[in-house]
Amino acid sequence: MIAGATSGIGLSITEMFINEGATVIGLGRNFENTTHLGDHFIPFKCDVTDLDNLQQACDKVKELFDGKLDVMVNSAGVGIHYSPTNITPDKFDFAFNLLLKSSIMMTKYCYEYLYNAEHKAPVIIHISSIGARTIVSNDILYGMCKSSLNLYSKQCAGGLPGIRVVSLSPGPFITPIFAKSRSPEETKQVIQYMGTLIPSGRMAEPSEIGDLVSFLCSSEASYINGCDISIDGGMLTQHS
Amino acid sequence: MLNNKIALITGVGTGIGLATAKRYLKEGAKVIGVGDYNKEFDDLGANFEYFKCDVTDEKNIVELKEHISKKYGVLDILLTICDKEYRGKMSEVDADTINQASKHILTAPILLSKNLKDLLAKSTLASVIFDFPISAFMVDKNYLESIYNLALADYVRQATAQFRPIRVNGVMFGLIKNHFLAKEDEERFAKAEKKETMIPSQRLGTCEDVANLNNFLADELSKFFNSALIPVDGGYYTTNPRSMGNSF
Repeated sequence: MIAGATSGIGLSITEMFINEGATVIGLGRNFENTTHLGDHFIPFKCDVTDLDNLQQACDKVKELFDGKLDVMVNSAGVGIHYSPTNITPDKFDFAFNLLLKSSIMMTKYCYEYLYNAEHKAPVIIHISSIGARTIVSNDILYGMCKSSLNLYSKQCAGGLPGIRVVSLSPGPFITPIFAKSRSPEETKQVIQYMGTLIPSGRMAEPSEIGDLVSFLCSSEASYINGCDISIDGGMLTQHS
Repeated sequence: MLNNKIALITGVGTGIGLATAKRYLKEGAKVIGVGDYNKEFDDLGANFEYFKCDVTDEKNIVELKEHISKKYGVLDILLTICDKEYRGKMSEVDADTINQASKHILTAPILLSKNLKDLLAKSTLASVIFDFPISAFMVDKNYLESIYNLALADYVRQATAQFRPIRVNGVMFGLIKNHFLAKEDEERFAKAEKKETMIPSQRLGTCEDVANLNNFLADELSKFFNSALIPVDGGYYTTNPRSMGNSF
């Protein structure tokens, strides 16, 4: 089950699972970009901040798969940029509902299904961000939510024994969020500039996070648990 | 897959080093192994080569480099792991032990990466991997090893900056059933009633668990990983409130 399955990093993760032969219940609001995924993709229209809606989505596992779930991924989110001076209670609630509460409640609604997993090796992946490890004064809500999510992920590793729980912190990936607020020419320039800041010399393609999730959900990674894994081309440790 | 990639592994005679050599060979790599001799080397096949080298001596390292250069012309993967242990109390330490720990844990990876950098630069996607115990982030735990292993963790990020575009990552292993595992940890886990309160994954790790991650980091699938420190500890240190390792 993947929340935020319809674009960006979540869509790449969904494509990876479909290519590797999994069946995916994909939560999202707009399924224009998922028509190529075939019969093993089960779209479920869901706003993850609407908790009744989220619970209905999670209960699809009961209805369709006898209550058995192997992997839960929450990749739903948007960039949220507020400074200490322009924050409002509504913006605060929006950010925490979308970026934190949805993960906490999705875990609550899914954990019993994960314990029923056919292969007895269930995994929860929370998509966090290197924003969790940086201090950006104009992104107070985003950073706070993501660092809380990392903590929550660790709390779950101990609190849900038998389920592996890992958070991933992607750095600069070329996703629609990234291109949304810029013209194609600006996007190109920023991509080029970002390459100079990143030791690996480039931004990453969304498919590269699919490769990581594939590894983390396999038996190869069965002893990786309770940690946050950053995939950022080395940017965070070098950024000045 | 690591088809025809050339890999150098230090500490190859012990648990994690040997498990990683086996895994790399299985994935199609050619492996040059450095470390204490182990009779299992005889069964590793033609793609494994044991090279006798004191990795704390730069002359020896230069000879190793010349050998790799002549025979293969390139190095795709450099993986180091210290095969010695330095335990004991602060009150009992002496200068020689400090020097030995420094040499084996820190000097060796620094000199190896320095001398092999040019051969790594010839690879299309070189990967340098330093394996060390994540207990480095725990106070009072094998303090001498921890001091140098923490320095090695920092060297990962320093080397990333200077070795561009060669990628450099660290693998931090937890309580693994190998020569690093302290008897008291093993006994404590055996006696623990609720295993998950000590290790969320409810088991000790194996050398293969670490070899799996070493394989992922050598593979092209992880090509955007750089300057990363990745734990493989079942959650023991990463969720431990007393460990600085819980920030990973």
